[in-house]
Amino acid sequence: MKICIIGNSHVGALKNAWQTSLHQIKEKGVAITFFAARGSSLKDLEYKDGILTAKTDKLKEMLSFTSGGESFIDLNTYDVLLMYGLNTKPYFPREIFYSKAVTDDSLEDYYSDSLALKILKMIPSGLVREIYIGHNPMRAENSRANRQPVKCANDDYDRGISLVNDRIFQPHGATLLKQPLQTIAENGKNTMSIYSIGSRRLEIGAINDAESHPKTDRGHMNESYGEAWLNHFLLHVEKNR
Amino acid sequence: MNPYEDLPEKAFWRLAVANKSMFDISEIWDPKFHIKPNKKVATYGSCFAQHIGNALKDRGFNWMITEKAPDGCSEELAKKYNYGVFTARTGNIYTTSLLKQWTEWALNKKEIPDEIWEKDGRFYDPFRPRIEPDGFESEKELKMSQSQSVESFKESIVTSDYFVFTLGLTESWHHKDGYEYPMCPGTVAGEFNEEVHQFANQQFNAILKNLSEAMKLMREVNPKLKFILTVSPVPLTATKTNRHVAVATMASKSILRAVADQLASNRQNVDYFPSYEIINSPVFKGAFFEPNQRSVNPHGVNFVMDNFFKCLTNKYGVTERINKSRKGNRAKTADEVCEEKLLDAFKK
Repeated sequence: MKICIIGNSHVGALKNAWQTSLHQIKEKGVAITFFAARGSSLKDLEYKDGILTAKTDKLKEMLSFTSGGESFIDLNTYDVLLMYGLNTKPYFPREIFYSKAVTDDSLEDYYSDSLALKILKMIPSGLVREIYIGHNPMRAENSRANRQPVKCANDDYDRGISLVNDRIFQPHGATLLKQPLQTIAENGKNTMSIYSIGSRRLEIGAINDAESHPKTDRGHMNESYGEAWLNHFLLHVEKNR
Repeated sequence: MNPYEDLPEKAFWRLAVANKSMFDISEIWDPKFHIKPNKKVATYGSCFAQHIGNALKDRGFNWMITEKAPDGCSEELAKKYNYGVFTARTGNIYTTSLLKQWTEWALNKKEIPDEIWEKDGRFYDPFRPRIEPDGFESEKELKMSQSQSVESFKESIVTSDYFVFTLGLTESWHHKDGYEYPMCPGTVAGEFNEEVHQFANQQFNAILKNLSEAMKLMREVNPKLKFILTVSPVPLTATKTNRHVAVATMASKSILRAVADQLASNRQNVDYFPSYEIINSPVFKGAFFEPNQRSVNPHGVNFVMDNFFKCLTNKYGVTERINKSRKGNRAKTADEVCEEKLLDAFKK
């Protein structure tokens, strides 16, 4: 199974995990190619005839570096596409009633900055058999305490994922995935702090490649998170086939 | 020695008005309550009431919103769907009888009528006809939204410290079964039926009674609740009385002003803030109206609200906390959501 993962800085955790662990999965014949660039550089992708190409040389270089030599993304050659991070936030609905019109319009607003959604809208339906979206990790909780995973305090997150899939991603043939339950903090709205400790910058061929993120950075996750996320994702894909 | 000799400057027209630029007129309000920034303030009423909430928010006060827009919703979208206009999504509450009606629904004293208006397969709430610009997709959705707003209105009554209400109109439209609409059926939505829909130009006693009863009901569930009344300075868009609209406006505003004065003068828990005077008094020369002499210019709105906070600060030393991200937008954000304006479309 050939999987294409497109992402921004957040995908670094997944890429590092894939490079250093998950050997059993590789042995099963799963091949993953990462195409990544930091920040919102992937806004400079354009689509034509099944291929996503970079509009700038800088992005082209980053695609080539992160994928191991491929300077464009030929979507025809993949069984599964995952777009990860890319300013796609999890959604937590409020516990009050909203009309469908309000919900739909506000979700459009909420995801108007999602680069994953922008790229998704460029891809014709049916071109890639399975398309998944992984949202930015929930911010790590403030405490650096090593807490044990517990069940989410409420079902806001689940309701949010379901709503967003229904109204935003599934109409474009994609599925937004939850982050692994074991990574979610007790409050149901943060990632456990252990998953942000020691996170490293995405390698793109820059001077600061693989540098540790500042200690105050609670948005980026480490390899353990990446491993948990990929395991969770691949299980989902396998179950779905 | 006579009783006038010791009066403060503000008591004398020459000292308080004639000798000053209108921009230097001060002490126009002697606030009864020390509204601290952390106290919860609910705002409802006619169109002009919307500015009070935004001004509170801009100054770092605790404008209470019990029915919030969805997370991540832009300001424009929230406004399109009437979130963040009033504390709950009631739409304009123009009359004291409407305020009483909302209060009775919220406190389960009366049932919300089942009436729903339908047009081109969309459903409109007779009590909030413009709340969803394109109507609701089903009767069920409308009812659920209505219940949410009533529940959120109740929450604001029960949990707020101050309830600001802007009295807007005396003219009102009622169903023959006794309930009231915010707008005449057939204007914004619905169909007018002269057999069913009745006009009333409410008079002083009825307005006073309805407002007193609404306040009494609210204080039964929240005994610490205090009220700040204002009267909308905005003239009527149209009158159903046979009078000239200018005469009808003056009559209407005078009655509302008198009701507010009666309550504020006689009750410790009721205050009156003179936004009406700041815009309409000859002292201010009508300078804050737009050229149509009806709409209030955003600078006028800011002037009114600056006075609100200046008077509070002068008396209690309240430190307002300017919300920097919104300060620059103050003048720009003064356009209001106002169904009554739509009556203008019916002029011949």
